[in-house]
Amino acid sequence: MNRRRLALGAVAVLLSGLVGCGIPDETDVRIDGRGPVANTAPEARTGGQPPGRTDSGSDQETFAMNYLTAAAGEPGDAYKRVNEFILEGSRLKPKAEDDGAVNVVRIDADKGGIVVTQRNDGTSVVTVFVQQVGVLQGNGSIDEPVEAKTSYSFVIGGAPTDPGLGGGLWVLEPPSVLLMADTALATYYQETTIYFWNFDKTTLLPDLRYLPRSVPVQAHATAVLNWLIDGPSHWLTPVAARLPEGTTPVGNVPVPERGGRLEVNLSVKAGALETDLDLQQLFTQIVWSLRLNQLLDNELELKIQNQPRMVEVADDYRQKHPLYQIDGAPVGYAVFDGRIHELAGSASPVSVPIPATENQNIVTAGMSRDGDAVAVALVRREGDSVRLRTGSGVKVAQTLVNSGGRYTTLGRPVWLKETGNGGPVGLVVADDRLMTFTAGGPNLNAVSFSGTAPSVSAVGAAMDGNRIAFVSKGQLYVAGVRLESDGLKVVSTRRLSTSLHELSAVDWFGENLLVVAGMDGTGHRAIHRVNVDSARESPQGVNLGAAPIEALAAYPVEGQPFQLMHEANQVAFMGDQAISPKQVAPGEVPPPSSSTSANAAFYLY
Amino acid sequence: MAPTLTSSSALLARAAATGRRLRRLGTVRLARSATGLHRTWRRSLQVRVVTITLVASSLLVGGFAYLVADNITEIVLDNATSDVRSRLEDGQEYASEQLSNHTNVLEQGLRATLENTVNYLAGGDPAQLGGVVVALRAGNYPGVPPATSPQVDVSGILTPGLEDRVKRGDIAHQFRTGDLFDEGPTKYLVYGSPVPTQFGQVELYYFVPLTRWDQIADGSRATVLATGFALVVLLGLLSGLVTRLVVNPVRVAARTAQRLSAGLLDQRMVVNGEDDLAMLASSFNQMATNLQRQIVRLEEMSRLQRRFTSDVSHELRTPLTTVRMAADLIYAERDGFDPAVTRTAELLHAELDRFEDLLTDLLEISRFDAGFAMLDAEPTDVVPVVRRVVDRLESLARRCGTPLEVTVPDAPVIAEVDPRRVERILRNLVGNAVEHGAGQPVVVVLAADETAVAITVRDHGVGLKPGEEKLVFNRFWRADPSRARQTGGTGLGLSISLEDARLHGGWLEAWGAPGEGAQFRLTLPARAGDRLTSSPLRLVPADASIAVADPLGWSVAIPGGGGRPGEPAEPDLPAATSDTVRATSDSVRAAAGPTGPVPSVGPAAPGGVAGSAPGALTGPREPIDPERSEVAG
Repeated sequence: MNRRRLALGAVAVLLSGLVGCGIPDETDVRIDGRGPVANTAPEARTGGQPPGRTDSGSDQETFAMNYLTAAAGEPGDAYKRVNEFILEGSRLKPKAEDDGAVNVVRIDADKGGIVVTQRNDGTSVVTVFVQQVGVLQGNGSIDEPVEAKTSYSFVIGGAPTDPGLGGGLWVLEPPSVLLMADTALATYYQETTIYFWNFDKTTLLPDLRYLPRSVPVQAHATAVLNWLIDGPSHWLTPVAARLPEGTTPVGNVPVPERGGRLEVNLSVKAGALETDLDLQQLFTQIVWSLRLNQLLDNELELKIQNQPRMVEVADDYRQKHPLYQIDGAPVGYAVFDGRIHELAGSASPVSVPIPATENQNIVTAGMSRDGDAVAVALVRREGDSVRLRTGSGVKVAQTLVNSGGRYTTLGRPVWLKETGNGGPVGLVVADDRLMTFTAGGPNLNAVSFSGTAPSVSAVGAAMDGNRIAFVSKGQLYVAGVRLESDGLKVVSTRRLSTSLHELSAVDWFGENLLVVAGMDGTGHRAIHRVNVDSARESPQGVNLGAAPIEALAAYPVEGQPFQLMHEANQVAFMGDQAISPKQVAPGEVPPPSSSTSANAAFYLY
Repeated sequence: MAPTLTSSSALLARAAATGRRLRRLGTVRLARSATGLHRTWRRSLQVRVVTITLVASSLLVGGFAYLVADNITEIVLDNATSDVRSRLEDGQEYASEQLSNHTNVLEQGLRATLENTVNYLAGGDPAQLGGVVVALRAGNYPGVPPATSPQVDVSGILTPGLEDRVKRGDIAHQFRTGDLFDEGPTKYLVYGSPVPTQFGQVELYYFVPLTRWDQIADGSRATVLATGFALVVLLGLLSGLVTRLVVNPVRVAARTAQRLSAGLLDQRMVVNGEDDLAMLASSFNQMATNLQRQIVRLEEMSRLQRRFTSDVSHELRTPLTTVRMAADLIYAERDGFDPAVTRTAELLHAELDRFEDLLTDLLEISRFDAGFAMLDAEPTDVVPVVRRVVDRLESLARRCGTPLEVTVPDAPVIAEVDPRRVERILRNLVGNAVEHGAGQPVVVVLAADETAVAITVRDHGVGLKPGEEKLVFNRFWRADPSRARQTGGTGLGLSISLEDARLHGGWLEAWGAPGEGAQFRLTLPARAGDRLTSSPLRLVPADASIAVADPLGWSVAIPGGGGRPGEPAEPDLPAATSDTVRATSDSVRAAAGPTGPVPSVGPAAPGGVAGSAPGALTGPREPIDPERSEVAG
């Protein structure tokens, strides 16, 4: 009996044990081992920060200047940083849907710059004379200014509770908007060009952005990617295509190991990026947009929904997929006595790409090449009037045709290289109107503007073929153009502000850089470089005499040893020297007379 | 309950009392059922085998099931842990990559990165992911709020111990049960790992519900349990079936043997197939056949013998009658003969008398043997019967010089007996006593109680040697073969008396000791057919002087096969040699004949007096045992 009880007990214990065993409800903490350890010590927040409120001591002017740079930095914290200068109670409140847009102003030294007026109560009124540059948006682009003021005043002084100024100066009555001096852009921001495809997907359009230097290098790629996702700048929106709708970044762009692969992970809507071409274009856009990224020194990997889709060595890929169809170095030409001569110094001498019989009575010309194909537009004098004669061909434009009309004045023709599928599209200012033509159809058609077509005095075409710069009534504009079935159309126009006035000529000097000729504050003719968003301006040539500069010719690739050429008073200059027949390439038959000087000059590229 | 009794001790006491009562009640029931179980356990081989199989297989299967279930749980846990661990490692790598963008904990985008990272790691829709929760916490930077996706409060599940370990740079995990989604408690595996970043360390936690793993473990456990249970049941059934296969033929054999032993000699087992059990059955059948043949042969022989005796007696009677007539004639005329011839005639006459007596006795015996003896029981006063016998033998006693003393009750002793047979028994006993009395007094005592009548005949002759008290009832047995037969005893008298006593359902017993004389006791039931349980008179006379060898009493070997060891009777009495003769129909049938080792007791039951006890002769003062009587009957 006892044995049986024992056995039954054993069975019961076994069954209860069987029922009991399972995943436990609670356990102690179990250590699996040491986790990964951060191999870098935390970095202190490094440079890129504008000076703080108390950094200026009691120097009111420096304080005022510091106040005008306080907004520089990551856009989300702009108000916070500015408000640190403002005494409590007067602080600015962010407006709704304001992502920290900052009004960028150029301190107009000609009008007085910063003026500090002491008041009896120990405070001072600071008046800043400014030129409105634009609005720095949260996405790093600078849009057209919204403010029209030319001066701002604000009161600074010690806090009422602090008679000895030991607590530093405060802004007691701030201006009502966020202001930032344009100099802060150069100091606290890094110019970064990102690219968007045009709507034909034929070329990438550069889009200039400003990346705060306070953003660590590690986060640059992420920032660029987010900009790409956000879409092009406001003024480029009509010409630049956004990424396919629904494209979003998946997380940040991780920092690669040194020499490692930079991985960009995107999520796209189903159906987007179906073809290899789509993928390649996206890759090209990203790889060019990350051109200046220090971390992209080897491979770039594009992942779509975590799936690796493309891996390329960035430099190699960029070489294989250049931004613009530029083949070799540019060739300079000058017009002596109505004939076009090639200038010396060209890397690969190309003779003048027009038949010798055509090379006469030429006032000026514009040429473009794409491989061996050249397009030529000549402005020829016919009596009192001028007429456009255009043609195209392989290496040499053999057949040239006259345009239908004669004009009193014709500016130098320029070519939009990437616009047309059947060859480049030309632009020329004819009797103060912007006209367009093609190599095969020389009849001039007016470029259509939205609204009334303005009078135009000069025009320049960007390499991408979708942006132009023009001068109208002494003002500088950039515009996006699109070739539509009924001709070339200006779809967006943006006025740029420069410190020059009475502008007379413009050309592209780089992707995002213009050269513009006008009169500076001293009454001298000057040539300034101006960013395409007018945020930065610097002199290129000053004291160029009193005669208005009629034309500018530049090779718009930065960092190339090709000098800017300009024409003034029927004389063409390279740098500040008139172009002489000695500069003509040897072997030219017949060479120009040594006593003459060049009347016009331009680059073929 | 009184409020003062609310103390826990009082409650406990009450509970204990109730428990004790219940336990007692339970104990009683338990004991009863245990007795029943024990009985079943002892009686049924099948129950034993099945129980042992069930217990053994339960232990074995239970052990295996435990091992298997334990193993499965272990594997499931290992799987879950390594699964989550690899997820954690991937997540940690991803988070580390994502956070590589940030070099300072004060950076504006850090919070967004934390949130995006946990959202990415949690995979978006919590409903689709089975409730996995991912959290990134910057425990060392209180200014950075923790990011959790989906946004639930994990503080109930995340223990400070685990947080502390992870903060210190360990990868650690813990099983916790909690309710993150208000869907009831769920088991979670909480796994944490430090995530190195440019600005220091943050901590990544995974909270993975183990519902699926739990289901797997439960399911497999249930399967193992069900399988084990089914196996045990199957084994039990199987063992029951097998045992039944074996036990059933054995039971049939036992039943058949019982029937055989009850006399149904034509009972046989059914032989099926050629296996061991079939062999057992056929052997059993063969044995039964042989036994039956032997018994039938013996019975036939016995019958033939008895018939021969009867026939011979009958056949002798006719010539004897003729011889008797001639001898009577000669005897009547003997005075006219030569004295020598006269003596011869007298001798002839006397021997013819003896011869006639012998024939009569033989016929009587053969009637008993043939089962033709009938009891004519009628209410009779036994006192006159005793007196009549004593009176008739008075002359013989005088001749032998033996005084006869009779002690009878004053009141009539009425019993349902056959007076003729009782008289014959008494005549025989008293005659024997007178003959062997050696001139000493012979005492006849009659006594009766409510159930029985007893008569003892005491002599003081040479007595009986040990063992002779059995032999005296044998046919033609003589104490001293050389002793000349003076009185006309035939040697069958006591045998016939024994048969007569049996026919009444009574006892006839003898006691004797050398030099102490002998005493015979006849005990008869007062009502015919009643069973005797005791005798009003003692078998061993009060004046017997021989000490008892065994103070506990004396035991008597039971002649024949159907007897049983006798119980001690009259332990206070000094017993010399006495005997209790019992016979059953079986023993009688099995061992018949005058030379048998037992007193020749003819079969009384077949054709005997209706209602006479089959066990006519049983030991004195035996306690009544109904069960035994049933079995014996």
